Amino acid sequence: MRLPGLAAITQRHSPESALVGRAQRGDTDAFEALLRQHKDSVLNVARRMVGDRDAAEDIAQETFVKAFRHLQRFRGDSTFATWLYRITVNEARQYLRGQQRQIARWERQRDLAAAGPAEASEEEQAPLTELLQALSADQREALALFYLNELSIEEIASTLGAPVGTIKARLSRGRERLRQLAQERGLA
Amino acid sequence: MNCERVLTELSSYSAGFLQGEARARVAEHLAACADCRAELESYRALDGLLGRETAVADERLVTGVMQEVQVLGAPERPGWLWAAEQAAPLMVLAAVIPLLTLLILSAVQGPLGPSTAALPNSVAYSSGIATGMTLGLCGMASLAAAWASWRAANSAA
Repeated sequence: MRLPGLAAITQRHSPESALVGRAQRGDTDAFEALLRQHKDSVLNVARRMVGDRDAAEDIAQETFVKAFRHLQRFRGDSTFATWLYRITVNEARQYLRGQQRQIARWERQRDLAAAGPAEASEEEQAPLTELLQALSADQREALALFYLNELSIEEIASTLGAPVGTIKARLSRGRERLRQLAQERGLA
Repeated sequence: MNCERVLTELSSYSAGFLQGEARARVAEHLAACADCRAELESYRALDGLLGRETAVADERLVTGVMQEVQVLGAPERPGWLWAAEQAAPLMVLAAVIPLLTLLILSAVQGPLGPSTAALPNSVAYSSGIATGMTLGLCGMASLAAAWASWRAANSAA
């Protein structure tokens, strides 16, 4: 059994932990407060991972519903945000696997159907966020969390279940590639 | 350090991953090289732009989630399987302790079994009882750990 670190001990006494405790006892108002507090960052992680705003909203919704259902499993070993991002990353991975299967189906049926994969919604196009889709899934996940500007490298590593050195390498290479793409397209 | 080498390190440098001597070497080069400083600026500009490309979740998300939450009513209570998973390290410990006890006993008294016949009856009985009690206690500790984990998870409900 893992011993709680200093971060976990301070987390247990933070105002947020009181909200989590109330939500764990079934207080839906407390859960709504947590939802309002984290909705934007969860949506941004999802959007940077999948590129499409509508899909990111679905992922964010599923993330929060799952978080509520499994709230009893949150033991305060990490921050509540890190726990939420872990669920978000898993949901986004699942969505992307589904997308890959769908694209493979479209490719098989392209003689029969003219339609390709759904375009990203037209509203609120974010060119650099769109560019993230050109990176490998590993690099994109790391960058999605990195650009939240609120997680340490250790927290990103813990969320993605990879060693700190690996995350640093993914981030360095991902940023290098992203900068190159942005320059090619005149975005930066 | 030449420009080519610095350029390969700039992404790590600008993200704050380079530390100590490696960081100092890049900083020293940057102080003297305007071209590399311009490259560094382009990383900072990229970070700034991406940091600003943030979406704000609208009220639909909150409404949608809360509708499903109202249907669920309360968080699910974790099952025994999850509790066992949480208590797994303690269970492993509880399995290792009796093995160690057996090893220590056999080291002190010789291998158990035939050689115990050579021991006086009272010593053989005491060592048998001690081993049995240790095994029993460890088994109970293992079950208690699983129960405590399940109980801790459910007490919040």
